[in-house]
Amino acid sequence: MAELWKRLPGTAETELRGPEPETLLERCRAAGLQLWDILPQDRCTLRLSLWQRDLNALEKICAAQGFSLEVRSLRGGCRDREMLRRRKGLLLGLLLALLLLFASSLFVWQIEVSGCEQVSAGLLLRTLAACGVEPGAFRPAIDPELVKSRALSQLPELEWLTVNISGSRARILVREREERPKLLSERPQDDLRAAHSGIVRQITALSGRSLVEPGDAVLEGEALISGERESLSGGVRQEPALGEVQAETWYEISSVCPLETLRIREKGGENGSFSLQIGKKRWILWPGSRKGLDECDKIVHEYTLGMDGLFSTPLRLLWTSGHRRAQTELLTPREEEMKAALLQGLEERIDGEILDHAFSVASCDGLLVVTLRARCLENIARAGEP
Amino acid sequence: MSKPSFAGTLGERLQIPGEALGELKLSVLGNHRALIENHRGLLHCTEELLALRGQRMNLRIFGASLRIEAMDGCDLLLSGRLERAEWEE
Repeated sequence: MAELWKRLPGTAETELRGPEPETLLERCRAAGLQLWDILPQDRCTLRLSLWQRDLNALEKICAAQGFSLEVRSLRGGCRDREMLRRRKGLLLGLLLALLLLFASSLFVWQIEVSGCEQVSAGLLLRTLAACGVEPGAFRPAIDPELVKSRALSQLPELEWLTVNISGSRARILVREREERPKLLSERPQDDLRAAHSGIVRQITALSGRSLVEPGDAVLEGEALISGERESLSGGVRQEPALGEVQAETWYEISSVCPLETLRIREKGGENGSFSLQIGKKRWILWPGSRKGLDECDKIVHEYTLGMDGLFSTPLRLLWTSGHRRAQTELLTPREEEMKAALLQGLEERIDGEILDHAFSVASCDGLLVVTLRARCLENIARAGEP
Repeated sequence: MSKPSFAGTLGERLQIPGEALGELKLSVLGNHRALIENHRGLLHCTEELLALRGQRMNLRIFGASLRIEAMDGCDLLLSGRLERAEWEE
């Protein structure tokens, strides 16, 4: 950037010869010349750089002091202006590019969303598009406060939203609404209740009063041990019930799987196409058609023209690569794996042991159904609301 | 020791920074770069010695491979291997 800054007015590198170069430098300083890269070569020779516009003043000082001046090189400035004067097309192109860049900076081309976790970025972008913030939107016409109000009314999951527009980039910051914590019941959950239907075999009430007896059939949610105790002063008092209720329970769990599954495998080979996108319009540059990609899985790589954090343009170069997926593989379900998974799932689910179990296998409508029927002995007492 | 000037005494009383009164200011970065502000002219310039005139005193900087990176009316940026600086009343 500093180099470009120096190139605009143009710089000159010179070599000066004469007695006592310090006096010349002193004259230059007094004349207000800006000098840099001052390098003494020997007692009578000095090299220095200065702006091209100061060359005439330096020549006059040199002539007055009896110094010889040699211009070693000129960079930028007049030479560049002369070159541009001869190449009018280039100058016109540069001006046009600058004009287009300025015009494109009046539109939003890039939208960045941050803070989304529950609400998908796609949903937010669609909502914003409905509110007027989308690629190609005219920047001065966007009222961030209005967008914020509209978007928040359409997305109740959001608690807060802000739209920051700088250049052609719109940054959307959102904060999602936190779910209200579940209110606990004011009534103490003192009773132990049945987590599963079954027949009671053994009751161990450590605290509280047992409401069932061995041999009783209980349904899920039924109270087993009550926390109500008679108070010595009369009346009833509540205390948490403690204990275990071993009951015989029955389970029937099924697992369903298609009899045949086709799995697509990559055939190998990759092809792709280059395309140019301006705003929402897309042109395929090479190979000219996308027919070859129709039966492929496509991955699109996007390259945006612009400088990150500085400016962005509507120009995007897209490379669409296709992966062929013609080969298929026939898979059959593994019955034994399904049985083992069912048994493992049941063991993890119960607080006890499996007394006996049996499997049944059936197939209908192209599906394989494996059913597990099991008799268990487990502790079904759980603290909780009915 | 020389008697301080009237401007210097007044500046000190009024707590005006010295550089605002045109005092020579030397800022050194390590031993390879120095910025001299408020100088009044170049007295000597070689790869081993740079001598500058100040408002009330002259400054001499000794070193090796000394090079003036930039210079204008009152500031000068010097680079090279700086060895020592001397002030001369």
